[in-house]
Amino acid sequence: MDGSSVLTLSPAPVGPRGRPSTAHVITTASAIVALAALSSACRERPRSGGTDVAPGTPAPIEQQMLQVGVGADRYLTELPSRPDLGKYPLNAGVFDTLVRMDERFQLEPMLAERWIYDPPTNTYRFTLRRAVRFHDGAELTAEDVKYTFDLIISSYPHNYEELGSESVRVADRYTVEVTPTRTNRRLVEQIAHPIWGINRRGSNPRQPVGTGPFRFNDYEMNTRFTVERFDDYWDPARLARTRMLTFRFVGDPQARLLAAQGGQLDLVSDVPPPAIPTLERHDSPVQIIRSDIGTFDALNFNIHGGEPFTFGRDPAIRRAVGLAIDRTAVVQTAWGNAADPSTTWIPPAVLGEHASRITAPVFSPDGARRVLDAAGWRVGPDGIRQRNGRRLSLAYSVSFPTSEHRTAPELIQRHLKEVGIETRIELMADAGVSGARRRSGEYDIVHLTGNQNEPYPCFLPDLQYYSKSMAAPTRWTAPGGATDRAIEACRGAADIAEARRHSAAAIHQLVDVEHILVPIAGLRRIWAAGRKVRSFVAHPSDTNQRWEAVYLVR
Amino acid sequence: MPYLIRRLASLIVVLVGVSTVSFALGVLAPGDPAELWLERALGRPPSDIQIQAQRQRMGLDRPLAVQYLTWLNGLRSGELGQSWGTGRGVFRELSEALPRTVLLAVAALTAAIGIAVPLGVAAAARPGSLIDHASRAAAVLGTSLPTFFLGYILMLLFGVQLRLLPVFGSGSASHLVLPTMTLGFGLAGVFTRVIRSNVLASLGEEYVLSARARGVPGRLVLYRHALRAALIPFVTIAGLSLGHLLSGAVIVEWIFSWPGLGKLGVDAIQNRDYPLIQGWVLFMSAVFAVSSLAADLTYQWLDPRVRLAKSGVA
Repeated sequence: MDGSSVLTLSPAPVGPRGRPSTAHVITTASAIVALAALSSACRERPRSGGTDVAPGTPAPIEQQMLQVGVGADRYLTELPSRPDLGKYPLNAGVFDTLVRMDERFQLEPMLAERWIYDPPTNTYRFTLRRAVRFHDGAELTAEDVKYTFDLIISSYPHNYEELGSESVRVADRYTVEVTPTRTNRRLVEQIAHPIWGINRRGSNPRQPVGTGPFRFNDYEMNTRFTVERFDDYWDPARLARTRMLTFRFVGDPQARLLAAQGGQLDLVSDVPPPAIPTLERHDSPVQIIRSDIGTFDALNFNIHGGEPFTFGRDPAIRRAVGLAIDRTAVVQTAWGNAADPSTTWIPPAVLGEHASRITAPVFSPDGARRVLDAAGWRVGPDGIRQRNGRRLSLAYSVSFPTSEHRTAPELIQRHLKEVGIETRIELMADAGVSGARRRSGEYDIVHLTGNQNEPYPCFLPDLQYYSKSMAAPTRWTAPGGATDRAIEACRGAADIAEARRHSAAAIHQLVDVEHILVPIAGLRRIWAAGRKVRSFVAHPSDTNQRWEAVYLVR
Repeated sequence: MPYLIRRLASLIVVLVGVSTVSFALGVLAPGDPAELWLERALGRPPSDIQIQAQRQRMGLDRPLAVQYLTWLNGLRSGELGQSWGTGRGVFRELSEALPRTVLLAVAALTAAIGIAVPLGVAAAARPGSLIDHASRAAAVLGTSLPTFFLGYILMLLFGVQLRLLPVFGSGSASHLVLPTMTLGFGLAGVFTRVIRSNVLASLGEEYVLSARARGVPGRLVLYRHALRAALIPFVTIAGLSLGHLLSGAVIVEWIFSWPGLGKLGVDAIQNRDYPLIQGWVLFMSAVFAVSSLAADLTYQWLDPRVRLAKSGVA
């Protein structure tokens, strides 16, 4: 249901001669004509406003009530102590974290004014900003930080941040000390994730109280989450410009978009890529807003699979797959201008100057053929290669069945067939099926998407390719050796610049040396906004989206 | 009475079967609910230790037989377990969503009958006329248009183009209009065709000819004699259409974000919330089975010939 397919028709009932019945033909034709007429009428709508940067008089504060359409409600509230409401996955601006990740993936102080790390004791010492008020008027103290961290740690034990029940201590009213259970030099970047937003000590997580620019107003499960402006926000430069912000959970992306076009919603997330060209016409009732690239689409080889999933062990096959895929063609067809061809798995902004170290194979079908020929894979009578009687036929598992993730694999399948590699696409019905497949290792290639939700530079390599990772699927994908060393160096780097260098080295090893990872696309977050919406900046990580600057004009 | 008892007994057997199948589906479906839950919570693949702890928390580490018996015990007490997403009782979730679905179904049924009766009667009264052709075309359109497609067209027309009605949500009468139209239109098509053919058949019956011979006015013959007789089989169809309405509501509620049972079911499936899915399947099956029984009983009550046939008198 999360798919973004545009309107489709049901299979035609077949008449006595095997043709579609007359009734169905008439119905289908009428429906198409009706839809075409309506679409045409929509196109003729006169322009109702300018672009996002066009001038306009802000609407009076009492009319600053923004309606935002987001996907289905994914909050988990099954435990009274679960601290996710208002934070994750929908970040409604109720909470501030100690540090945050900005739209360029850079770390920025928030509630923590400064911090120091003491290597001998593996302890971070955070100094809190003074005179920060919670929504109930209480002052932020180190006790609140300890309360929140303990709550999160108890909700999510065995966390990647390596924090345990004894990790957090209050040094004084405005100083908190955090000691991971194992050395972790990347903690500050990790706790920029919104899930680490600070709750008021003792408050009910189902009535969330934070220090963010918006205070909680109302939550109706599966329907809406409403917040209002917090007038005593600690940073006057970031005081919210809207009085009320209501997030509406509308699971169907088409309905969400139609609601924005009809004026029922001011902003909607995750616009289906096929709709973008029409919405970018000058007479569209909405404007399209793109984020920078923050999500990556890539192929991932199973390099430790058991029979029959052993093709990924052959470096020649991995290299040939990278050479055979025309990323530009795949991206243009599957995502249009909602994505760019990518050579990496991490936003270049996260890697900084080291991003250029990753080059990725350049499209060369002839090069792919040469590699396979040299490895003894000969073209068979049907065009598919064989070696020692074994057909080069890869099990290609696709994680999420959105329409783009049906189109892209089909194109990749065609490109690979051109060089003699057969692929058997298996669309996974949902994340559960996909997770089970990845854990089982019963695939040759898996098509994955990764989001950069924190400024930790080696977050994605650590998650997917570290052989000692806690995540079970890495047992099939992690090469160990130089990749492990680069990830470990990244984790242990004293400063973030050094961490970036090691992260780039890890990705370089995976993409350019071992060819385990084949980057395909860098994806943008696509929003549609009404013509009266101003100052909305789409964050490349949707869970880090900020709302305080956005406002409506008359 | 023995018939009723037999039907009730078979209803219980059906529900026990459904409960077993719905539990088995949850167990047999690929993917680990604990892992999926953690991925949703953490936004990243969980570790083996985390999965193990979560399985324990969800009770998935216990033997299947124990899980099944625990679930059955929950059925007996009417609780149907606890949602893994919200922590609330499944029965509470279902009972909160039910009135909204009933409201939508009743509105759609009323709209469908309101359209179908006059249109079907008018078409039957003048077979081959323009109104007959038009009603048949509308009926074909109504039955063959996929619900979601109709929904999007109505949204585009009334929500985007005319800006008259909201395209999603609930809370006011205006929110009900588009889902009702979407759900009711297909049903109206079926009803129109049934009423037309039933009235047409009744018009050829002797009692109608006799009424005409007695000089009863044509309109009275049509509505008092022909339509009344034609409505008896229609009651069964209308009763059985409750099932159609509930299944149609799954798509309509999802598209229009109408917070009823249908949307609850889709959300539960997307989140792999098995206790909620299992409760939902059982609940929907019970509604189907009970509505089917109610339709049969009503039909018997309305048409004495059915009762006589069942008792072997006819």
